[in-house]
Amino acid sequence: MDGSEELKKSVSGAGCAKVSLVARGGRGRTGGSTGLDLWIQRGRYQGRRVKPLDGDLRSRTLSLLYPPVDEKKNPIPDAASAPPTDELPDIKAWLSSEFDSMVTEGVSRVLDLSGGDRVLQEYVRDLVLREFCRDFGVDLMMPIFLGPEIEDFRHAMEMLRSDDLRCERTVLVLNEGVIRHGQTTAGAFDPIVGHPDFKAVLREGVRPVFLRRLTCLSALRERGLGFYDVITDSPDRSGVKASPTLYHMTRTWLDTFEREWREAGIAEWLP
Amino acid sequence: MRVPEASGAGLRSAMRLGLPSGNCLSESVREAFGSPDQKHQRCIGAYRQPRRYRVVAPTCLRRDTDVTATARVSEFDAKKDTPFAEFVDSLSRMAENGRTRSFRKRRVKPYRGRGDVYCWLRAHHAQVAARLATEELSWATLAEALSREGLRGRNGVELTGRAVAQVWRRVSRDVEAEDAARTGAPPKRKFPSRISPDWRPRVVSPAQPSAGQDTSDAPYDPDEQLARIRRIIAERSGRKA
Repeated sequence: MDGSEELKKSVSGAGCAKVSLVARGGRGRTGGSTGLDLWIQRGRYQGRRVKPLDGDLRSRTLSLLYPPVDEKKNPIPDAASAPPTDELPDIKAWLSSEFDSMVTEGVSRVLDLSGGDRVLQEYVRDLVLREFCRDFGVDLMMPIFLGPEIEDFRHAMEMLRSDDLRCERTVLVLNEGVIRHGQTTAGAFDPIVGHPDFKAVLREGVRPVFLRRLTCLSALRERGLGFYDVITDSPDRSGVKASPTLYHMTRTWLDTFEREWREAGIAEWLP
Repeated sequence: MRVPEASGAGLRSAMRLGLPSGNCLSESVREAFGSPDQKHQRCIGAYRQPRRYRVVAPTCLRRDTDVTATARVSEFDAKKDTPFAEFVDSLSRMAENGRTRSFRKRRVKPYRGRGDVYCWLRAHHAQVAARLATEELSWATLAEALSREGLRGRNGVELTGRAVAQVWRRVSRDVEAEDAARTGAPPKRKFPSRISPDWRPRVVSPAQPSAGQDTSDAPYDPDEQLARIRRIIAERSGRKA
């Protein structure tokens, strides 16, 4: 069976009851791509099709993690899609094309437009994205990742003040994975959590979640191991399985992640 | 036979006085000389003034096609002492950078609303595209080459590889459109529609609750959520909650 047949088969067998669009907002370098990667892997692990949309042409994290072909040049289903250039008309045309496919195929999308809030804002305004998603039964979620920089927080507040970039499912993700060495979690996030604007947006319905640091993340990436590959005892590219320490760290991290989203009451928002 | 143009003086006088073409000055030569077409000027300059150097901004990309004949003559007057210095200067730079010059010079046409870098890249599109295709040229190298040509970005800033890459995309798009228009081919579609003609929108009842709403029974309490986050942060920092 060639690759195209395999793709067709997986598309026809989609049957996903739930279609989600996750559109990440906020500044770059806040660990958003890693967070999105986790949600993509989680959705796929639970048997749902999730397609990454990589609008971050500078780092191209999702494109690297989800390439279109494997080592033998066989196509990989639901690989990351990216716009041809980082110019606004091209990005808009790409988004339109992908959103069309999302609705017609019934496959969830996870969009990474790192630092591309202006693009997103314009597009959301053009399409009336919230209404578009509501009309086609797509669950729209907008996560905003926050690092330790207070500038990240200010930017997020600016974004939330704009009505265009706000939906019922807006999440502030406090990402411990990007705090600097020597900095404590409290030192990084106390100024944010104690800020009156933070409390105000929470009162307006924005949900906060905490994403813990996974210290073995770089080891997993180097070996090409996914988070759920580790806990299902799958081997890496060279046929070696994860060590017990890697397994334990990853398992604990995933369990904590699930618990925190459950406690926040928004586990069902994930794609 | 007397050939006044040969010395250059006759030619300048003819330009200034606007002599009719019935003079021994050929209309085509006169046109070429009075135009900003650097191809002709370079040839003449290179032949006439090989040793007169002056540091000036290059004029090969000047977009002054709408300059009136009078203005052109005034400008010509102002430069009559060193009429070809600019091009001789570019030649001197060419000699200095002979080893690093990468592109065969082509006539650079101005395009309305476009910058110098755009015009240059469009004139040299085939050469640049060939080298980019063989990966023997990086954006940074191209930016350096353009800087050596005396080109600058908007407001005179130094060119960067990223800036040149962005202009190149616009140039490639326009060249592609021009080629398509010339051959009569329909414009290339970047995003083919994958929508089936049988597709109909899925009707969703507005009353239907979303997946998130029907499972979260507990009402949302922002204070509780804030306390939860504070508790986690305290835990992670080794504090007592």
